[in-house]
Amino acid sequence: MTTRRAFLRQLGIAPATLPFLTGLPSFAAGSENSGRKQRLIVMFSPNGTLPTDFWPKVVNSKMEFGSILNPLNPFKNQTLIIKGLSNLVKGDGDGHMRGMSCLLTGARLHPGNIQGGSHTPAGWASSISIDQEIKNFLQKNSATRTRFGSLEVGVAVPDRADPWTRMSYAGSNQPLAPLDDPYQMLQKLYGQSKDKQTYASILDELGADLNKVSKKLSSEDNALLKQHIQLVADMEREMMAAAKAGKLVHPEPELDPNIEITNDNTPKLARMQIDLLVNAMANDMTRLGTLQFMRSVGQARMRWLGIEEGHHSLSHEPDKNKAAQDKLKKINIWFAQQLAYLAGKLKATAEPDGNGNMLDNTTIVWVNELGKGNSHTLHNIPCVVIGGGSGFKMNRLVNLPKGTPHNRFLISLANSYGHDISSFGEKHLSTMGALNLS
Amino acid sequence: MRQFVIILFITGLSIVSDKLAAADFAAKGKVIYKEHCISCHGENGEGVADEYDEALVGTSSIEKLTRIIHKTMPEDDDELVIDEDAKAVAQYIYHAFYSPEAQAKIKPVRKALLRRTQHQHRNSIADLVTSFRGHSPIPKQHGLTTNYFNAEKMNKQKQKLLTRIEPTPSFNLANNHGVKKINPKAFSIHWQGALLPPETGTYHFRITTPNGARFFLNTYDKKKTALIDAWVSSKNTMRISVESTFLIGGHAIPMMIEYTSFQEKKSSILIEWKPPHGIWEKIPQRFLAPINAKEVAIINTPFPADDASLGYERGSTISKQWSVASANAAIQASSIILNHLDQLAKTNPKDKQRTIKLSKFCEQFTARAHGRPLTADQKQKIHKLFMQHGPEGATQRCLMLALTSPYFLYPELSHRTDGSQSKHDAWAIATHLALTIWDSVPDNQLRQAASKGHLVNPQQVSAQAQRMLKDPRAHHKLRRFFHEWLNLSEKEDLRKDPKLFPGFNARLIADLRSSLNLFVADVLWSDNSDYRKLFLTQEVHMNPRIAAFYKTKLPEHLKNEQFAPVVTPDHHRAGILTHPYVLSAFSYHKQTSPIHRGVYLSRNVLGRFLKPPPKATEFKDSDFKPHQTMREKVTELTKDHSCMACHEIINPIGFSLENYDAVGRFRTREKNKPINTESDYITDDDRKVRIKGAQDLARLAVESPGAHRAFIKHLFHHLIQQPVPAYGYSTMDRLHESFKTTNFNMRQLIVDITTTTALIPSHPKKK
Repeated sequence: MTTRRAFLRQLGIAPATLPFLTGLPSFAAGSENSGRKQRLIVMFSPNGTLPTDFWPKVVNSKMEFGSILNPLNPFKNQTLIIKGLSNLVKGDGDGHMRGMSCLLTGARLHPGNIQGGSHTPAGWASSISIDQEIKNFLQKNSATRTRFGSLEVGVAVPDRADPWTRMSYAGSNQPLAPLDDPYQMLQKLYGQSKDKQTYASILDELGADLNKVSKKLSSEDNALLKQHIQLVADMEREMMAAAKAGKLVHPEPELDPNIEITNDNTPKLARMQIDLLVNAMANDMTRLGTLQFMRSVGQARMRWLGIEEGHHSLSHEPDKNKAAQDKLKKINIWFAQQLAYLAGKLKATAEPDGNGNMLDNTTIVWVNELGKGNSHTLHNIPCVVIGGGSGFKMNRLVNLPKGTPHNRFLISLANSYGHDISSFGEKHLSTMGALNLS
Repeated sequence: MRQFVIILFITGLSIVSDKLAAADFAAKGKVIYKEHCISCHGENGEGVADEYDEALVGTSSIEKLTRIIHKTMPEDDDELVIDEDAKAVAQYIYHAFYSPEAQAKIKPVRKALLRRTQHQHRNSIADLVTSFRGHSPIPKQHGLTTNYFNAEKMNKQKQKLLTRIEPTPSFNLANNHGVKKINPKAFSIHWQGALLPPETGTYHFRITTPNGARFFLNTYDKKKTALIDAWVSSKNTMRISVESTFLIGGHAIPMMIEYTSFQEKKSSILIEWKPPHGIWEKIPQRFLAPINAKEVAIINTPFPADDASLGYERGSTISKQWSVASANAAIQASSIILNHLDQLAKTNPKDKQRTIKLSKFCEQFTARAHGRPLTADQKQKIHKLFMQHGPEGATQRCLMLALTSPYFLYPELSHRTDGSQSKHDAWAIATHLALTIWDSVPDNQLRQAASKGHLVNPQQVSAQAQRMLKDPRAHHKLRRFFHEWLNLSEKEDLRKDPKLFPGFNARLIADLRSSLNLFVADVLWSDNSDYRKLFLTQEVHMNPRIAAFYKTKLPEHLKNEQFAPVVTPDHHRAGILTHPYVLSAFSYHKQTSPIHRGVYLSRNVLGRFLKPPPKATEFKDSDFKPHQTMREKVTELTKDHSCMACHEIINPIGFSLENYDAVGRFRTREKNKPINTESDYITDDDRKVRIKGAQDLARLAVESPGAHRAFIKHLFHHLIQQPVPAYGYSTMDRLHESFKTTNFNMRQLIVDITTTTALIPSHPKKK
C-alpha cells in the first residue's frame, strides 16, 4: 500500500489527472498565459482593531510597526498602510452589516428582513464587489483568464447565508459563499484527489484478493471475474501513467487527513486554507482570491491564544478594561501572523517563468469591517496593502483626509489592473475618483 | 421403460398398446423429420445456413405446429407432409427440441454469477451505514410536524403559538386560517419530519417566498448546509429558489424547513417539488411523515445502466464505466462514513479505546458487507492496516476495501467458493432474502437469525420474508417491479394532439401516473393481495382533475390533491387493462394503437410468445382511406399470412379495447360508425374464445394459466434476476399451483418465490 503511494510521491508530481477526473483543463502554468500574472487577495478579519496598537508611527519618514503589525516587519518595504478610509455607505442595516457587506461593494444594502443590533432590517448588497469586478475584467481577456477566475476562501465561517457571512457579491442579491473546509477546497481544486490517492493505494491488495477468489470459481463464473481483474489492473496502470504525465507545476499540497473542522483546530485549518490558496494561484487556477476569517460580529473563542471569551463580546469592552484590550491585541496579532504566513508563502514561491517570486506580482489587502470594535466606527478602516502587484508606492503610511470614502480605494485597486473605471459603488462617494497611490 | 412395466400391472392391454403406438408414432415423426425437414432445419432444429438459419424454438402448441406443417411444410412441396404425418413430426420436434422444456433439457439454464445492480449497490451502502446508526421508525401517519412562533425581534426567544400536523408545508398570511394571535410583523414557522421519496432519482425543490426560508434535507442540524438557503429577503419581493438533489427510494429522509417573516407587509411561502417522472407540485401528503428520521448515506455517484438484454435488469456484465463507478461509490461512501465516524463507531476523540473501537468497527463493517463473519485471514489484514496507518487512514482503507471487495460486489461469491458447502448456508440465505425483498443487505435481525442458524427451514425463511415485506424498502422494490411490468419506464411523454385532446396536459398525465401507482399499490398491499383484482376492478383512482376530464362525479369532501377509487360512468372498466395511463401510453399522437396495446398485453399480461415482425412495418395513417376505422386499417395492414401468425393473437386484444380512445375516454362510435370490439381469439392452448371487450380480456388474464405464469415469471425475474428454469424444471409448476391455492395472493407468491429459491441446493463447485 505504502509502496504505491510512495511511488507516486517520489515522482514529485501528484496524480492530479486521475482517470475519473472529468473535464479539468490543463494545469500547465506559463503555457497559455504569458506576461506578468497580477493577482489580488483580499483578507478580512472582524470586529475592528485597536487603533493605538495598530496604526504605525512614522519616525524620520520611516514606518515603525507597533505590536499588531509587528509580524509583518519582514515585508515592510513591500507594505503600504492607508489611514483615513471611511465606509460612508448609508441605508439599511446596522454598522456590522454595512461594514461587512458594503466593504467590497461600496454600495447600499437592499431593504430586507435581517435585523441587526440597531437601524433598519436589511437584505443583501445591491451591486457587485470589487474582487468580482476585477475578476470579470480579467476573465474577459484570454491572456488573463483562469479556470476559476476567483476563489472565495474562508476560515471558520458559519454555514449560514446572511449579510454577516458574505462579503463577495457577483451582483445585486448574488452573494458568494466562502468555502472554509480545506478538504472540500481540495476537492474543488483537484477533484477528490486525496481520496483517490488512498484508493490507488489499495489496488494492490484488491488485485491479490481477486486472484485468490478466481482460483476457487468454476470456469463459467470465472469469465466475469477475470474481466473484473483485468479492469482493476487497467485502472492501476492508468493511474501510474497519469501520474507520470501530470503537468502540475506545483504539486498539490498534502493535507493531514486527521484535522477535524472544529473551532480549536482553526490555526491548523487557516494554514491549510492559505496553502491551498497559494497553491491554486501558483498553478494559475485563479488570480483573485478572498480570505475571510470568521464573519462580521464573529464570536470565535480563540482558545489557542488562551482566550475563552468570544471575540465580539471582547470587542465591546470599554477601553479602560485592560484585560480585554490585551486579549484583543493578541487576537489582532494572530490575524497579522496569518497575513505574514500568506505573504511569506507567496514570497517563497518563485514565478514559473523565473521572473521573481509570487509576492512581487500579488497585492494582498487586509481590511476590517470596522475601525474600532466598541464604538462601531466606520471611520479609519484598517487597510494594509502588501506585495508588488498593484504598482502602488510601498514602504510608507498614507494619511488621507478624514472621512475619505473607501470607494476611492476600490477604484484605485481596479485601475491598478488596467480596468479604467472612474466610479465604484455609490456614485456620490466616487466623485473624487481614484486615490493617487503610486 | 419402468413406466411401461407399472402400467402393464395396473391397466389393461389397450393402454399398453396405445403407449406402444405412441412410441411408434414419435419414432415415425423422427424418421419423417430426418427425411424431409433436416436439410433446411438441421438435425436438432438449429437451422441451416442459407436455407433457414433460425432455430426451431417457440411456444406454439403441438396442434398449432401440426397445422403449420400440414399447410406450409416442406416449403417446396407442402402436400408432402400432411395429416397424421404432420402430427407425428410436430410431436417429435416439440419434445425433442422445439418446446422451452426441451430446450431446458438440452441446454440447462444455470444461475449466473451476478454482481450487485446499481439499485442494490446504493441501497446496500445506505443500509450498511444504517445498521450502525439505527433505523428510522416506520411512519404510521402522514404530513409534517408544524410549529408556529411569534418572535419580537430576530434574535429573541420565540414564543410558540401552535403545534400541529399539516398535510404539506405551505403558508399564506393573507388567507391564514386557524393560527390565531399570529404577529404579522414577526413570526416564524418550523416544519419538521421526513420525506418519503417514492423512487431513486433526482428531485428538484422550489421555494417561492418574499420572506426568509431555509430548507434542510437529510439533516436536522441547523449548523449544516441547507439545501436551499433563502434566508435573506429583498424588499419583500417574491423570490424563487431552486435546488436539486439525488435521493434513494425506500428510505425516510430527514426534512426540515424554517420560515420567517420580519417587518414585511406580504408573507407567504410555497414549497414545491418535482420528483423523477413528475411535475412541479406541492409535496403530496403521502410522501411526508411526522417522524424523526435518521440521516441516510446517499451515494449519488452515477452508474451505467444494468444489462437488460434478457428483458429484466440484472448485474450480469461489467464494464470499465461500472468499475469506475463502483470505485467512486466506495470513495464517496468512505468519505461519508469518516464524517460521522465517532458516532457510527460509538467512540469519541478523547476515548482511550478509540483505535480499538475503530478497528472493531472496520471488522463489523466488512463482515456485514461480505454477508458473513470474517475469516481469521481477513481479520489479520485489518489488523495489519491499523499497524501501518493512523486510525483514520486505516479506517478509510478498510472501508474502501470492503466496498470494492469481490465478496461485496458479487453477493453470492462466498457461497460459491466457501469450502464448507453446507446444504443450507444460513448466511447465504440471509443475503438472498435481503437481495430479493429489499435489493439490499441483511438487517441486524436477519443477521442474528443467520448467526444462530435460524434460517434453514421453509418456515423460518418465510417468516422473515413476511416481516421484511412490511418494510418501506420492499414497497420500493415492488413499485419498481410494477413499473417494469407495466412498461412505465419507457412511457413518459404521453402528450397527444392538443387540438383533438384539449386538457390532456402534463399535469393530468402526472396525475394519471399517480393514479395507476396508487391502484396497483392498493391491490398489492391489501389483505388478500389478489392478482385478479388487477383486472377485475372497475374503480379508477381519481382526484378532482382526473374526475373532471373523464366526466366522473367525485365524493364532495375530497380536496384537490387527494385520490379516491370511483367507478367511471361507462361501468366497463377492467383494472390496469383500461387504466387511462396504460391506454394512453399505448396510443399514437392522434389516435389509438390496437397493435401496441395488443403487443404489450399479449406479452406482458397474457404470456404469449411473439417474435418481431418479419419485416419492419410502419403505421402511416395516410396509407388508408379516410373513412376507415382504426380496426379496419389495422386489419388491412396485417392481413398478410406471414403477419397473421402473430397478429391473430395481437389484433383481437387490441380491438377489444377500441372503446377507449387515445387518452382512455370511453366511446361507442368512431368516424360516426359504431365501434366493433368483438373478435375470435386463439388461446395458447389452441381454444377459440370470443372476446367482446375489456371484461372478456380481464377474464382471460384471470383464468388463463399462461397469464398466471407470465405474471409469476415477470415477478420472479424482477425479484431473483435469474431465469426460472435455473431453479429446476418443476419450479414454475409448483409456484403456479401455490398461486392458485392461495387465491392468487401476490404477497404470498413473493414469499413462495423467495423461500423456494433460498432453499434450492447450492451451486455445484468447480470440477
